[in-house]
Amino acid sequence: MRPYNLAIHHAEALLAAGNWAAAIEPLRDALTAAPQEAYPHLLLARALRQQGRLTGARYEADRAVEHAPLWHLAHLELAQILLAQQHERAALEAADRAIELDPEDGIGHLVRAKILRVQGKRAEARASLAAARSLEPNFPPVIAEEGYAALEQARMEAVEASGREILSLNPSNPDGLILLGHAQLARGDVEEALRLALSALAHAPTDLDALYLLASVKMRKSLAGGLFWRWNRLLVKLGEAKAIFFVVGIFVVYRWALLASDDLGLPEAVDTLLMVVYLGFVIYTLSASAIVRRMIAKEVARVRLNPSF
Amino acid sequence: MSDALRYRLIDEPREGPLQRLALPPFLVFIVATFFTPWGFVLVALNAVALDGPQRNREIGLAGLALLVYFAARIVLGVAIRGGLLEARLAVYVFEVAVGLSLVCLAFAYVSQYRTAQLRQYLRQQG
Repeated sequence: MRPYNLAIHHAEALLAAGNWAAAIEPLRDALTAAPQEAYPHLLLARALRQQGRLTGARYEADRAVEHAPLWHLAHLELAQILLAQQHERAALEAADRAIELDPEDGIGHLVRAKILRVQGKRAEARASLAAARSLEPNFPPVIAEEGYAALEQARMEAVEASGREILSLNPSNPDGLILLGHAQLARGDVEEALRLALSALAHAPTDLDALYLLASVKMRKSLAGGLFWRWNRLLVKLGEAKAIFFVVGIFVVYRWALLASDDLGLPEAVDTLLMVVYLGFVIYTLSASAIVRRMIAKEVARVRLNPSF
Repeated sequence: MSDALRYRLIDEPREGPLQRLALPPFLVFIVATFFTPWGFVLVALNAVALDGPQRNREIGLAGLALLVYFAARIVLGVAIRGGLLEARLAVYVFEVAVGLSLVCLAFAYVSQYRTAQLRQYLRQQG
């Protein structure tokens, strides 16, 4: 067997097992042997995206599109990377191109629906999702997207139905656990919602939706704990660029407050108080992600699903 | 096959002689914020030492931070001398300029942090 084929088979086996990190080396071997092939570029883009290496993933997806401009999967991968980078308009263009090249692939419509939901275009997102559902009726990510769309509109019966449908297909699917968790929380069963959130995090520790469910549960249990989770989620949800502007904006407000305190002739104790509050905020923000990771790991280690579940 | 001949991933930092001089990005960012504006230069120097995929962008961001800082000083100085702005009000406006400089540095920090993390990860793998 040629080295290229051997490397590709190896990478495919690792990717099928969800071992994204290990698949990178055989894909590098494949690309060393055949740098003009679009397929290893696509697989590498996917593996890097799953690892959160979006700069590398974007480059590889661009190469896949360059070498196979009429291959819809290359455009679809590019769309997903652009969505992860929060470039929604470019992501939508890539998804539209993928659908144009293969209108019968439900995943293309699903990705388009996700992008449109992020953009707040609910009606268009619904139409794309309906198209995805008709093409892939039993595909958990499509059902999950229906559930999250319903969650945004607080249609809790639909959320629960989606969660149950996913779990009937795969009992450990994180999206199913999260959606059912939200439904339980709306019903007032906080303990069950917490168990579901933690078991979802055990499968997907960085999942934003799982963190949101956990935040909602913590908010219900205690105000201080809930605020902690919500603040963390806000920074994650804002995205890198907006979070930077937000945090630096708080710095400018702090500096203005110090200047205003001097101008108004307030006692020095006010300056000290402002400094302590600001330093507390800085330390908290810098250490929040590490604390959150540790807390999640601790809670996940403790989680036991209800035997009746 | 030697590593030099293998396919190179674009986000992986290059091995270079200056690599051992690279400082932890967080330390550099803190120093830069405490020693404005010349601490900004340290961010650019660290970009050269790290030699990550966004090296030129990081150097540009440090340069932009310096430009915003000094441009604000010059413009506000002219405005005060021309009687367009009160000196005390100019101090408030200048804080916004410092904030914008810090935004530039923060973007450079995020990119350097990723490079440093990836390098550490690759070392652990290799």
